[in-house]
Amino acid sequence: MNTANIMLVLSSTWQTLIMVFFSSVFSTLLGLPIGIALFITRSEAEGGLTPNRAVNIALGKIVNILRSFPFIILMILLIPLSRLIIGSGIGTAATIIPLSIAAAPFVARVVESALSEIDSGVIQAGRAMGSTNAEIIFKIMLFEAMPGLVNGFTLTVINLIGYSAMAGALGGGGLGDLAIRYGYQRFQTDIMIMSIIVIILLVEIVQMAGNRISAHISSKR
Amino acid sequence: MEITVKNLVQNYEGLHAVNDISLKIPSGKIFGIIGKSGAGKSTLLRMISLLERPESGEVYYDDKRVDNLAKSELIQSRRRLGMIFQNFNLFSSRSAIKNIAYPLEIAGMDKGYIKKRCEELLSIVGLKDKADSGISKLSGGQKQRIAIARALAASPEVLFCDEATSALDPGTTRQILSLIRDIQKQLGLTVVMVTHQMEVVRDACDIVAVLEDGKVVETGEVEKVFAHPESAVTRDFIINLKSQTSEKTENGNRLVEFSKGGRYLLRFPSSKTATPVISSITKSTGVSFNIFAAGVQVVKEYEFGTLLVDLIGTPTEIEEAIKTLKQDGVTIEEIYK
Repeated sequence: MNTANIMLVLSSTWQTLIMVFFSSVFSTLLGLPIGIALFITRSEAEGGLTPNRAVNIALGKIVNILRSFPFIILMILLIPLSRLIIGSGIGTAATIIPLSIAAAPFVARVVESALSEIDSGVIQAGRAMGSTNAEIIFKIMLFEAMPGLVNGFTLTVINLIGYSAMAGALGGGGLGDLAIRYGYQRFQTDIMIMSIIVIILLVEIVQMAGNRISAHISSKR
Repeated sequence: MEITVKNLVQNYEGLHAVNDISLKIPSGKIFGIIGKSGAGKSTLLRMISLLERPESGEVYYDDKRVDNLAKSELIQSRRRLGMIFQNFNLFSSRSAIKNIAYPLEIAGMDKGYIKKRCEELLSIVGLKDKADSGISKLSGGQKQRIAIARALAASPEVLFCDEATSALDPGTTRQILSLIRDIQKQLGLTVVMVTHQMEVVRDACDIVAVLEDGKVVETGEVEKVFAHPESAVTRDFIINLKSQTSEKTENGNRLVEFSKGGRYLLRFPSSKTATPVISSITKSTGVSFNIFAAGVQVVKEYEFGTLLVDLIGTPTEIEEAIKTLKQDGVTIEEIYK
């Protein structure tokens, strides 16, 4: 493989990293509060702090609808939103918007399920000591659920690496785009293989880091 | 703090319901609430400790009604209470000392004070060396000690114990109970203990209320209830306690079972131990006593001599013997009917 091709792979890797990093951050910022809301509005029997059936059902529906959207269609639907926020509907920056919005409902469900695994007795103890709901959420629940949250976050990042490969459709660049345009359409098998190897490596590294962090947290308990 | 409960009702379907309970829990005493599972004792405790609103009825802390407080006031009132649980319910995300710090953190204390207070509490419960330990690395007894320290951190006026020793072995149970008693005496705390173990009532409580089907069937000072149990449930609890013949208590006393059997359980108050009650009855009525088990049991500081016997004689002789025993202040329970 010549230098030009290596440079191509490197710059595509960088684009992928940018997309994945920012969309991970934004999808967490969006998904975390929704996940918390999904959990605390559950019925009291299911551990809800402020049970609210209407809100719970409405949020659940929105999350489910967004999650069942094929990503490629969601991306096209969100072009106007990207134009509004980024100023352009195409490019690496523009793809961060649909990526974040596609992953946010996933994050929300991950957060909800991590929170639901907390021992209800611990929440009861917090309440018995006179904690406000905010204290229960931000001083108890999020910390108690940390190993589950880290595992969920790892999953999200890996999903986003997969989604970002589709972002080529919006001219987003990145490794998936490179593999399709050079590897598939121009029959440059070496670039195809390199792109795939780099994607596999990225997934491996993220998974390993996630496992390490989660194990580290658990070992301190 | 004195707690008064008036006509409390919580109507779950069947089990765990509380059906018109009124109680006065005096300040500075250890008050036991005993009942079998499903009797409603935990529901009662959840209402007294402001974790659950009663369907009807009233709860007073001293003279202040607390069952109908608005949310912010409710949170302030809960901060005056300490609570420990069967499963400890410690925060696994925090070290031992950080668990104790939690109630102080939410009370907005400054860091220097929190550190000092936590160390003081760790030494009260005897776990100074475990300050930075993770919760999963502690034994059950150590976890409950940390939970007690956490419950006491914000200097509450009441300590609620919800089956606090049910997950512990007998030795650890006694250690935890004596720790609670020591602390109660030192701080003049009011302690409310919910339990299904009569040993807990015997070893720790001053006053007991016995619950059955959501109602209080008997209440009074522990030694009086032990000496003259009125309800069937209470007798049942006491008999089960006595039949644990191999059980050693703090004072090393136990009921020695010579052989299986025995129909009557006799309990002699300490004032009678100098009187030859049995031989005089043998002489006066002609009944002979066959002793199956014997021992001394200590209920708080009161000692009871306990005998498990059969009475041998004609029905009239036996009836006469039982009557005389009762006149002499001996409590009699018939076990096998």
